[in-house]
Amino acid sequence: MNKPYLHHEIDYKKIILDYLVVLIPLIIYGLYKNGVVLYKEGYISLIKVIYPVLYPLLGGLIGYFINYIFTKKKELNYNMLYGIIIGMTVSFNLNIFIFIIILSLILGACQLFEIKFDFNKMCLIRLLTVIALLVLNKYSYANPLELSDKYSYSYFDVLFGRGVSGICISNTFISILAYIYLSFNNFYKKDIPLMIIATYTICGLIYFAISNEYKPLLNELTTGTLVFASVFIATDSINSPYKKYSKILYSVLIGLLSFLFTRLINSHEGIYLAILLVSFIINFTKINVFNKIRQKN
Amino acid sequence: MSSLITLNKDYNIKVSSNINNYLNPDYVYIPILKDYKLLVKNKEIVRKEQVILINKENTITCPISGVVVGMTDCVLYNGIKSRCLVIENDFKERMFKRNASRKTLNNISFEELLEIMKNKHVYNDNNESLYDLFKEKVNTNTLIINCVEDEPYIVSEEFEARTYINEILEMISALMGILNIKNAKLVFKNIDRDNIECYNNVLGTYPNIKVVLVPDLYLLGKRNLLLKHLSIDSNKVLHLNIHDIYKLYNIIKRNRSISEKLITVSGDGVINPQVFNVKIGTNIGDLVKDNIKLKDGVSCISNGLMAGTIVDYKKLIVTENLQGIVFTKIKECNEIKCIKCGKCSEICPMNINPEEILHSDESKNREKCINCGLCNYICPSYIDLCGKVRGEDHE
Repeated sequence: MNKPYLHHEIDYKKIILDYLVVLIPLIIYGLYKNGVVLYKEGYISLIKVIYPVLYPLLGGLIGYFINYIFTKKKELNYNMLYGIIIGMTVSFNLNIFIFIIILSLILGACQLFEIKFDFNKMCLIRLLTVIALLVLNKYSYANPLELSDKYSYSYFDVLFGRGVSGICISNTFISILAYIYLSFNNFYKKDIPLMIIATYTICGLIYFAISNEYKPLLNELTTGTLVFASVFIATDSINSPYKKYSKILYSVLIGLLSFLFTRLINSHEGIYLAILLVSFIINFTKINVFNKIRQKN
Repeated sequence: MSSLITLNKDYNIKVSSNINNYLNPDYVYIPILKDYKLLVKNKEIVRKEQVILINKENTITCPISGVVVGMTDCVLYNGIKSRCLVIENDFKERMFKRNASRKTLNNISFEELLEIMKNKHVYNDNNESLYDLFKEKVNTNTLIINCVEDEPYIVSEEFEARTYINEILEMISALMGILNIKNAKLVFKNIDRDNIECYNNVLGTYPNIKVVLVPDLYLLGKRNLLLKHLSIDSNKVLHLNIHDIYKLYNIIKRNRSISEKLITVSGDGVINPQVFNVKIGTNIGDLVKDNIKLKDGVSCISNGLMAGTIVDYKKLIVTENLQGIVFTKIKECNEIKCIKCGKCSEICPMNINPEEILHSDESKNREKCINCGLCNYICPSYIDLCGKVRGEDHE
């Protein structure tokens, strides 16, 4: 251990553990929504019930082993956390082998080549899984029950997890609870999700004022993707800024771009693309613009 | 500036309330520092307070009487190895020159005080000449006496304040008279109940001396941060540590240099944590062997867990800069890549951003580092930021 020989009670393992604790309820809800319910309704076989757990579990294991191969350390690590989070956000229709291959290749390549540019790995891996789905003509986030249009849900139902979203992230309410829990950890960048959602909401309200359409905003705020990505992916410590003004710029840009992308592309990918783009842009700006802002203040 | 924090320490580690004397070591070891000239030879008989080392600005006196028996390698508080003069104790405490002590401190003039400071080359704990400090700070409003110990599990200064309470108050009162200072404030941590009680009981006879309590925050032992915390302009006060006051008492009233020192031996690796009154030059290995029960597999850290250094206690010797030693089991922690949480720059009391410094050649900010260890303490990735900021990894 380096000097000093006393350490704050929170270290990287505790930070990762906190994330894992709050992800468990989301995974359990995913198991219920995309596993148990579908099995009861006769849409999937018994083996497919475990898919919502299998994706994050496999993601975590791949991350763990990639870290072990490169560092020879058997411990909680960020690759493992990334694997779990990505596993939770993928589409119900994604082939499990494609998921394993993409995840292993990207995480392995990032470890191997020690890329100087920071970018949000989770968003990049997600983007590649989406491309794979498009190539295989299976692009859809809806499960068989949702595709059948058997039930219609209110925004309140959607807020509590009935919406169409990634395999384990549809429950916005649990994501909000997770955010509240993580906010008590000093190392969590709690202002980033708030600023992203605030910017997104302002954009939505402006859009409402112009077009008189309120559904896009309410849809995004309740279906889970926006809140989950803001709480868990945009706050990825390694690829997000930590200085006050940098964080504001980062969050506002993500909020603006994700609104733009949701309108231009679709509601499932907008925020991920925005995070990926902004986390990449930050490499060019943090040295010059952010330093100048800091010096001025 | 960042707000100061309370350290994550174990409040169950308590030091025995009695001071144990260890004043008769068989040998004492005096480090021969750079630029010092040795004034004694091998086999020469030396007496207590005899000058044995000298340089242009300072002298080092012998803490015991005995015989010079040779030289050996020892370790100093900062882990640096040093050649030391070995003096065998004859246990007679024969003084080189018995100087008469003063009956009272009240009749000393400002000029006389300055002369003593100049002749005896007295420095405070921050290594500033007290001659210059007194000259500059005469007629200031307030005298601040800092009794705050920063390092967890080290309580030497707190014990010093309590043990020498009469001497300290007499010296403070005299200094106030000589330097024409109207008020004095003794600053204690609010958890230092023994000292608060002791001083509140006797301060009735010193109406101009007040006790000020501060929270248990790390780095309030540092002058600038304490004054900032108390919202006091540093130009308007004279700041001294409790150890400076006791040192002044010995020099002015007793007319002798300090040959003894309070040392804390504590930590979760010690079964019986204690404070010892030891001769300067005592080998810590001898002290521990005779008095301390250690747990298995513990390491010794001199001067505390935050700013201290791992040392081989068997070779460690007591010098004026050694406040105490902490025995603890060092946990193995894996350093990982920086996760850019920004806590190091948020916590740094000197407003340095260690993460930025690592990627630049900014030497100005590097020099600002006070080696407090807070960046390393807070870093969740266990990166040795402090060492890297100070360039220690390149040495």
